[in-house]
Amino acid sequence: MKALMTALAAATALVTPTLAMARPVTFETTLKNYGGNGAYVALYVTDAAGKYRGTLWMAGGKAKYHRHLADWQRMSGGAAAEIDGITGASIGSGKTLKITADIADAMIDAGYQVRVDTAVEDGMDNPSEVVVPLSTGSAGKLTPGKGYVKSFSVSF
Amino acid sequence: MTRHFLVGAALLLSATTAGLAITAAARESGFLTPNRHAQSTISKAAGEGDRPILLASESRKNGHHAGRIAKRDRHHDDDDDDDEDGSRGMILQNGPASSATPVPGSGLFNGNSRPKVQVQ
Repeated sequence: MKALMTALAAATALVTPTLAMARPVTFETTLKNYGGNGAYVALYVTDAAGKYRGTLWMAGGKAKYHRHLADWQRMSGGAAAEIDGITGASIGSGKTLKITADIADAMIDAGYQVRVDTAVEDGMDNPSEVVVPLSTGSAGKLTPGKGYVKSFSVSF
Repeated sequence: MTRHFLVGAALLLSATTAGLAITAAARESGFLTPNRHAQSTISKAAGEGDRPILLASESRKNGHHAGRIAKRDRHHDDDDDDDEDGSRGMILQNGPASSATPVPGSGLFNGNSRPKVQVQ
């Protein structure tokens, strides 16, 4: 019986990480028709205390311009490791950036917030122009930004 | 005792197989496969992401008006530019430089998956 229990415990230990609870979450950012150059856009997550937890996506590939995404830069430290593998091109005026990521359930409805910084050449820098809770209660709601973001929404 | 051991081993094997099957199913759903990223539909951002941006504070430093990023300041900022010499378009439009690049270990991506990205 003891051997059986040991085997069961081992099996559970092996299988549990595979079953780590997560769900696909879609973040949709639509830019206004501001008519200028492509926008650098950073989507990142902060915890309930406002502390940076990680970047979801960086739109805009040149690192030397990332400092214009001021809050992202300040909170993340701007290290390349923060956006390795999750960096794409800047987003054109009027375009919609749609990101679907597998997010751990533990981060949903737990006080985390999604933030969006934007910056455009010959335009303005808009740190934290969108701040939305990562919660099922805000699912599907369109939130306008203070700068170039026409609307931002999270869906689960 | 031997029988118990065999039962335990069988359970261990079946549980592991189930775990692998679940992982495979998740991959098919598209959230764990790095190559899925190549299916992004980013199209018209070409040339839009490789323009320089200047802070208003820098603009002020250079004697320009505040609050806007001045285009004419571009060359001041671009002394170290790496793609303003006619080689625009070096930034890939479909996301990361390599689909094999692992995502950051921030924990946001459940440790092993990559985001799917579309620009419409």
